[in-house]
Amino acid sequence: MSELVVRSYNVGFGDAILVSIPEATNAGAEETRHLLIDVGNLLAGDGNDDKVFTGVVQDISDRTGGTVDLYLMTHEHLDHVQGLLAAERAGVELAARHAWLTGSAHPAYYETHPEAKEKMRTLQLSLAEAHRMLQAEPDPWLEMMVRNNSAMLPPGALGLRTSDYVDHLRGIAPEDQTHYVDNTTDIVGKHPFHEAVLRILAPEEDTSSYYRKLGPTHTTADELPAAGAAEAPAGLSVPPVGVDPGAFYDLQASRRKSTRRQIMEIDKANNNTSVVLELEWRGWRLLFAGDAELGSWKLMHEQNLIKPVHFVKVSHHGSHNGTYDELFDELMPAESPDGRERHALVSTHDGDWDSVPDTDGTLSLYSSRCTLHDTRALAHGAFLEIRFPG
Amino acid sequence: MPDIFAEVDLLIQDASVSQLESRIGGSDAGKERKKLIIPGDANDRFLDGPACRRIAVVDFDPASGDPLPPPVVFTPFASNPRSGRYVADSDPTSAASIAVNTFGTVFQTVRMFEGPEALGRQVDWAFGSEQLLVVPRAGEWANAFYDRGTRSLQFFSFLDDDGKRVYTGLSRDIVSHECGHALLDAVVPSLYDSSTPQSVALHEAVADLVAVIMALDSSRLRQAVLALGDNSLSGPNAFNNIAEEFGMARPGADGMARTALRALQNDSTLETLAGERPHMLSTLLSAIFYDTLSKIFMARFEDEQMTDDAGVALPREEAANKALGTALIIFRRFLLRGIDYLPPGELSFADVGRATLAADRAARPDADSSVALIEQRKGFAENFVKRLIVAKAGDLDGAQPKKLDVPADRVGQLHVSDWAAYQYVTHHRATLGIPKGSSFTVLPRVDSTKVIGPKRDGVAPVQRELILKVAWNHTEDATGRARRMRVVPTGATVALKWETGECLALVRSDVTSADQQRERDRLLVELEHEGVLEPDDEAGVGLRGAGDAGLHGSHRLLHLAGWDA
Repeated sequence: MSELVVRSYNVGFGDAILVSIPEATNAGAEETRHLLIDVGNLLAGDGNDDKVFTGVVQDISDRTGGTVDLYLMTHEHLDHVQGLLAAERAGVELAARHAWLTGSAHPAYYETHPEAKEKMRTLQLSLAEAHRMLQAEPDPWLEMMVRNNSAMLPPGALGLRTSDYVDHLRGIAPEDQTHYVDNTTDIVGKHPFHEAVLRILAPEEDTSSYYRKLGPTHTTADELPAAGAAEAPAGLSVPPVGVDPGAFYDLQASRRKSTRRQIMEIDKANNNTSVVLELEWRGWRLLFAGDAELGSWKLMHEQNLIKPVHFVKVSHHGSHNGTYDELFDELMPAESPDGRERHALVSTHDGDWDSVPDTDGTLSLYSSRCTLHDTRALAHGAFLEIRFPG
Repeated sequence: MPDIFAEVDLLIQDASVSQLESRIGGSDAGKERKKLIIPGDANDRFLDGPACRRIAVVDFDPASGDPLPPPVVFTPFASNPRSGRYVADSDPTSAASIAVNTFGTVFQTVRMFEGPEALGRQVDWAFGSEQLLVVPRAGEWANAFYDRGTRSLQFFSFLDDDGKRVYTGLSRDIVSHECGHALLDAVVPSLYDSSTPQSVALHEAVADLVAVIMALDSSRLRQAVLALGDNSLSGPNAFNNIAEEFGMARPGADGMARTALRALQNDSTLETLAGERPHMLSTLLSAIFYDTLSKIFMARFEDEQMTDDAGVALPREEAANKALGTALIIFRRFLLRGIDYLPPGELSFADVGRATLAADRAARPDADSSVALIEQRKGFAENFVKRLIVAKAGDLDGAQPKKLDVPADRVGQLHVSDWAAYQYVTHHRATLGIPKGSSFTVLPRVDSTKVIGPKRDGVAPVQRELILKVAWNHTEDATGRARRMRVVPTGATVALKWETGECLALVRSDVTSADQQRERDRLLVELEHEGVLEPDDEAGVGLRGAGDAGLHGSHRLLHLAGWDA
């Protein structure tokens, strides 16, 4: 009996998910096609380990013959993009016949979306401010956030070259089979599957709504500081004569806090640009949610896109923000509508973020309705498999 | 000791008023020289910054975000070194130019608000210390705001569609508007944490109207607007369009081009604005006041055009300008003294109407008023009816219960003695509307001396008042995810004539109506739905606590991304 297999690797705090889908051929035989969703992890904390990708990507290569049929980059966070280039640098290459990248990663996206372009400017200025704060004082949380979101910076900005990881993914499939997708994309002819039915539920074509809550930046510089750029002269360390010292220091503290809040909003918004992919195969419905957060789930709900599923890749590594509790019944009703077994997969790591994964809340919710599979139970670099008979 | 002053050149409006510039004469079109005056007995000085005891500029480097030394030096006059001049350079968007404009406009707005023609007293900032910081270059955002937490007004800049940078600190409307928020917060601090949409909107409306008053304060702008508008205030103009340059640079929420951030002349009603967010809702209240200003002007204009005993009439333009100058004085008193009479707690637009009429009648009762003044009050009240805020004009009538009178020699004691004030309120709790069993708080009493009429023989008549405010809480069930109790603060204001002890006004608010509770629920649910409520966020909007679904920091909705238009 043929089976659809979801294989998930423990890569630390990140995702690496290979879906192997048997498809009937015209000749009446079966052929397995492979969908690879994200390979990456964080560059800070215990969850970071570039070396893990060498073995993981080698395993994927062995299983797929060195070329996956479709590679999906859900969004431009480092913990979702870094793996293939890291592995290639270690001598393990992987190619794709088709590649889908989230729509806003298109090199010309911000030229055609002026409102999103404005948000991007805010994002870049905020990251530069956070970077400047880090130079003045170490802050592990902020450093992790800056790095995670830095794939969206121009090459060399802030001395980081994380955009290289996304650039690498732009080139793993032939140019005419590399597509930037959103929930308005007509996907006919853009993927290799004949039997499996794909549907993109998110993101929106115009991602600016995800960035709605972005607030101010404290700088207005037109150019981001490049690596090695001379630092601006230090500002005042004491209040000017005649200015209330308490108010002066409170104001500065508030500006620093505001930058941290802004970075948090940027991180959320970037998560919401995740491609949320529904896959139907021989009566099974599987949902791969990337890191979609509440804002994205709400829009999917408002467009009546959410249906009961048999499998869900728990969004955002099991954070509370990745699952909309009030919409959970739409996704996973108390009873399976067709009586089939149901599964959820959380790909996560302890010790990187205070609230991720949300074991008592979000993960308990899933485990109350289905079988929950957790990559934390695996050795580093090992994988688990969930099988769906067809 | 003589007053000290600083001379500054301030922008008359903003960079959008090029159409007006040909009408605004002078060698430095678009700017006018102002004297910032500190009373000689105020133990205060002008310093580099600009800075003085109650207002100080803090400038930040736009490239690094770091604080910078004062961008403007105070240059004393050789003949009078305590006074002097703040001189910006020739670049209209330099740090110095923006600093001088923001500081000068804030200074003038505060002075106007506290002057004898308005509140007649110095207010205490709501944040509890003496100095309001002004940040002219706070960063990049199409926004500006007052923030109690950082004791500051913050002015941002942004790029318009053509890549030109627009500085909010160079708009007199925006600067005086934000300063209006700080001043209203000083007078009615409870509005900062409102749960009722109209209470939040009220802050915005008053801030807009403060901006109107500051625009009217420019004689050159008055002349230009009257010349362009054929001596009329009808139609869009620099007074009823708030923040023109900002509005032109940023399309509205519907993507449509606009000529200003907000238009105060409109025909909206409470019904047509049902469900709107606070910014839009605010235009209903501000439109009522703008209509009143227009009517005051028209009545004065008719009077000024009449011939005198010698059969001579003023030229039309001169009559219009004089009428508008007088209308400004009348309007300023009408609006701001009403604000001073607002009770503490959640307020409705009707409460503003009641407080405004009560304060106006306290200065001049109907029995002593001219026909024009009575008509002005009547028209104001009828506008509340027309716009469906109250069912009938009488709903805005206040009370002056004789039983609240005190002997003249007790007024001073009520001012200084908490014990006396609590005793007075306890004795009159039924009249004040304090429910049985509710505890209450008597706020620090206010001693205010206001000009109440035109000068006679060179002397302006004044009235000294004691304003006493008492606050208590109403509790109700709240809807929303929290489904918990909500505390709704409310209260009453009593104004006593200092000279005689007679009660000039009693203004009470009512927060218990089903409509108001429904509106609070609606706002709460909308905030929850939008994911706006941030627990434990000192810079955001949240719930007050585990047992109270009332809002904390709701004033920030007025400048929160996505809610700020």
